Amino acid sequence: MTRTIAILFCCCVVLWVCVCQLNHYLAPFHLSLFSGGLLVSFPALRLDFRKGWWLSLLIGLLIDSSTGVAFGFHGLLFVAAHIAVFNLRGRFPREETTFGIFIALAANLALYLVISAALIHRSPEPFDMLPRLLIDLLASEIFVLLVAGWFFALQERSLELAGVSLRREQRGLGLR
Amino acid sequence: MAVLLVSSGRPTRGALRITRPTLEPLVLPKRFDQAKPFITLGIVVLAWLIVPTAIKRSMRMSFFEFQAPLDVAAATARDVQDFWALRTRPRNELIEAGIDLAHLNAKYETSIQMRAALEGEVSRLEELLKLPSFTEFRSEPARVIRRDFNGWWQRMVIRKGENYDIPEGAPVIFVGGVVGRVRVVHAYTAEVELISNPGLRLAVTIEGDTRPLSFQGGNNPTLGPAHGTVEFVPLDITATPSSPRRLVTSGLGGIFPPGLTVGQIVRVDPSTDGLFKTGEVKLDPRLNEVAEVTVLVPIRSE
Repeated sequence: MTRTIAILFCCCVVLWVCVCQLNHYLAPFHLSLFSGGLLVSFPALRLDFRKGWWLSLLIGLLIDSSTGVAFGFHGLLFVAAHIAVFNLRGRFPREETTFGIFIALAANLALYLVISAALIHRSPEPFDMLPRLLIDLLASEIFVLLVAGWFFALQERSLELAGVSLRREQRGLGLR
Repeated sequence: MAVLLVSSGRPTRGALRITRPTLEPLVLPKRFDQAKPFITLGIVVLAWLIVPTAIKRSMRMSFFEFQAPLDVAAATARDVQDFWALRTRPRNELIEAGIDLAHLNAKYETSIQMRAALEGEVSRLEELLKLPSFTEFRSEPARVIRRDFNGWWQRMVIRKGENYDIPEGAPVIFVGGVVGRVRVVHAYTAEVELISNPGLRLAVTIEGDTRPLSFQGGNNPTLGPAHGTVEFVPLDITATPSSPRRLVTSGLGGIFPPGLTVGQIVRVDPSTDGLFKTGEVKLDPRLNEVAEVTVLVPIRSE
């Protein structure tokens, strides 16, 4: 359990750092990317409930540590997203990459809207903020669409390299 | 609330089957089983709310310090890239830059001498009029290692922290005026909240006027300069894009020294109560790509 969470957590840290660096370079244009939905999709679709739950919480807390919101805000939101996706995954071909990308886009959209709704009161003129939020959302969705396939593959291959096979685990065969 | 049903026949498919030694098999509805994770989440949220702040703060610090080396490494890689890019410049260009720098240094030498004379004059007047003296600051230049300017918050991380005695709340400035203030200090980095952050408020005045106003960071449109708003502007003040008014720090509140540029008021409109005006402040466009800042560390008197 610990090994799977540790490997996937490292993969998520890699993506998070890449997104932070991209945001650093996009800052002069006042453009920002959000990839929360992509971070929670793979654990929610492929891991068992408890592992995915802990992983979503850890990633959320990592993001919380360097953002301007209360500590635990992203953590609890990511856990909620994980639960929602986990409850739905049985009805769909969850091992398909295309479906994974669709879930990542949907989760990203939902998380972005919830965060925006929760933080919009900070702005002195909330309605003037909407165009910026919409442009950021659009850019984020395009980014998720472009990198989701690579990120799912990265997570799956990293697990395989460490000797963890999700397919074997799902069939009750345990670790290789 | 879950209701336990006594089943006389076979339980429905997918239902949780509970057996008791004295009763018939009890079956929980499938819906309850699906709702269990959400109930768990609710309990976790409640538990999180009562976790002491000290524990949350400690966890936040730990998570930040975990990722800080990655940010520092990325910033160092950028610096190395810039260094090698500069190495490709022709020698003549560097010599010209050196001559320009020598001219600037000569100008600054004169300014330093004038400043020393003015400081002496200020001290003499303070003593004569028995005025409280301004807080003195030590300048600490720092590189920006990460900018995070999204629609929800505007922050940056600088490469100096507790290792350079940076205190929380210290003002941060750059060549264009005020950048913001230090919000959190870590071992060797610090987080700075920008003046364009919607949550930041500042006591300001219009240059040449002593009446205090309230500045708040505003919305930051894509591909445009950062904006802010100013409230409690007296009715006699006017400003237009063609004749803007310079907004400076007032020195009230004791965080920012007075006279630092915040931005330019480009428009004022009467507020709804009719007693004051509300204005739009255009911030320095260089704030978006600032790479080097100065932290003003207050010098505590012995």
